[in-house]
Amino acid sequence: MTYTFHWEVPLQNLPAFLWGALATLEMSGVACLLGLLVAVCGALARLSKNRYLRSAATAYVEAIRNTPFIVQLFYVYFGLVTVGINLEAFTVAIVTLTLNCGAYCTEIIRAGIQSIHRGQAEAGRSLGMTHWQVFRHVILMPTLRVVWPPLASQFIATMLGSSVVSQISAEELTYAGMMLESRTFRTFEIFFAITILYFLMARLFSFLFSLTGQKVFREAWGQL
Amino acid sequence: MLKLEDVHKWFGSLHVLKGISMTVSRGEVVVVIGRSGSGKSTILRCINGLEPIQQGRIMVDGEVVDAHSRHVRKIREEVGFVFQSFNLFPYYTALDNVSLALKIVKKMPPAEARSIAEEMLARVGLSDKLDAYPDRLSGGQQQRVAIARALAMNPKLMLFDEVTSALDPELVGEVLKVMQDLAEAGMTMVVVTHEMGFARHVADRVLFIHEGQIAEEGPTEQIFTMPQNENLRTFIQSIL
Amino acid sequence: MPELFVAFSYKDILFLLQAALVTIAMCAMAFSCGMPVALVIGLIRTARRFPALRWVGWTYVEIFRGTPLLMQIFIAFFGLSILGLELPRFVAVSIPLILYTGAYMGEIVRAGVEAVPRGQWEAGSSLGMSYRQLMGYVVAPVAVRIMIPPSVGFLVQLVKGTSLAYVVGYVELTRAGYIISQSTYATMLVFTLVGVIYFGINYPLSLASQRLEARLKRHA
Repeated sequence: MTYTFHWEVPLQNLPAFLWGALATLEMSGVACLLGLLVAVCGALARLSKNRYLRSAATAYVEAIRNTPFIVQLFYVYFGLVTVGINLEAFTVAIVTLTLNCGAYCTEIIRAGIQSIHRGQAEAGRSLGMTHWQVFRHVILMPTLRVVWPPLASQFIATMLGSSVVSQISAEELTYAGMMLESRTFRTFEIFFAITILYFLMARLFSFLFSLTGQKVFREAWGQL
Repeated sequence: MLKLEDVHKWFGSLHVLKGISMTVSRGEVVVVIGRSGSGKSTILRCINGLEPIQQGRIMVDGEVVDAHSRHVRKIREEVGFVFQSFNLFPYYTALDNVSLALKIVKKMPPAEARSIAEEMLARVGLSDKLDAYPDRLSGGQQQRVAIARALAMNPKLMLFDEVTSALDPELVGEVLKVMQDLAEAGMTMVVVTHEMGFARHVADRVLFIHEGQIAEEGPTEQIFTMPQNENLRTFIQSIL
Repeated sequence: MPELFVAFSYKDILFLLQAALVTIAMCAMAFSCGMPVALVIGLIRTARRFPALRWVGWTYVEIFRGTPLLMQIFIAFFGLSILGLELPRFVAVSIPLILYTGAYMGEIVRAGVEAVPRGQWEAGSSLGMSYRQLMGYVVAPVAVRIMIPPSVGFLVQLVKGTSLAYVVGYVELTRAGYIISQSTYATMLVFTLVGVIYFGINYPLSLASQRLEARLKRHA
């Protein structure tokens, strides 16, 4: 083995990586928030009495969950170009990440809503609560408590999965690494350092989600 | 046969057993009674090493029980334990449940293990359920299989941990009958139970455990007709 | 007008199907080699007497679950060439997938073993069984049945993961789709087909996983 490691390459370019990390966080953050909105709609659609809404939502969820993200990314990217819409790669990335995260979160929220025993809603109504009151106190809070850990996991997974958008040249952490790599050819050191950054971000957010969950729901979760 | 010398046990900072000393002779049937949380099940679980003790000594037929040693496995081959929740192996038939340990622990050839298992199941009255899986058996039947499973190992001592507490009332009788037959056949037994009828009928001696200590012990009739201990008196009144 | 672009033909479909076979082969490799790793990781994570071992297992899982698969593939791929190992591409790409499987399946193994009720362990111990006998005869039958639905669910994840071998130029289904789209006009058609093929592989697995899960709940 005659390879000499050049660890100064990633170290010297740390600022570029940190900018990239920031972009990753921005990208995933927006995607997760929008994805959550999509998910709430999706979950309600999946639970609705309307057959068409249900099928449409199910089709959406199953299509996303059974195909790789990179294929979804290419599909949206080339699809938009074909139709003549020319968006920035960063935007395309956010759109695709949103659709992706939205599908997984739909399932999480749907499962959460269904896990709340129907009897509790009935109990609330028979105590004289209005529909809205039942929803807020008997359904909403317990559901949020149940879905918090899996949602947190999904958000972190989305953030990690965002590294794939580098393939359409969206500017985030992995892409920053690729750019540096094409100049210095220190592939291993660069991506090793970047992986450590991803790992630290994931741990940080896992900790933050845990903490928030504890404060809001007063429940002791371990690592999320 | 069985000897406990000043046994102390803590669960964390909770002092559960506070100096338990007792002896059980060969062929004796000893019933242990007491309130929930008094430590009676814990005593049983310490005897076969399921729980370690921090102080004192437990001896089965002269051999010291050390829950952390490998030797405890040998002792367990000679001490049968029947659980409150039966704990049958769900994906084995009744016959396989009973013969499994014979084959893998005692290294018996399958044919011999099978015939012993059949004999044991016949003894508890379940010859017609050899190939049934636990989920097809009633609680009483499952418990009887559990007893057969423990008996098949030809133990010197049988421990029964509230074995009828999880059963519907109409199923309790069949299990108690099996235990009574066992006692009459001369098995050394330590039984933790709430079934006072069984205790009065079958036990040679009764121990009353209160807050981790043996508050009173003596021959069965004496305990029930002339209880000395205040707590014991209250306990008996609350049961009867 | 240079005759660079050819129309999409049945030959391209064949190419895609062949690439799909490559994808499936990668999954088979990753899963079969990853299971032994998973067993080791899962079991050491349940070892009550050796906290150091438990920590090792926990760290392994956290690393592979807390970093992007894309990075894992990059590092493994380029790391191997640094070590001077000249491995066939198939193997080089499978190695990160094997380790990835080891981590996720390791978690499934751990959860399966921990789901076996304590009473079963105690019954077996009381009969004089050793740790190995307990694991093999008492824990395994119950744990394996619990593990099957999530394992099938993981296979779906694995199939999707193979698509990332694209980035190191390995020709599996996604790369094949990309290659074809570069030489024909029919980009959307190609990627729709690619998506459909992935769906065709994964959807039955997803359904199976859900059915198995429901069956397990009924039995218990």
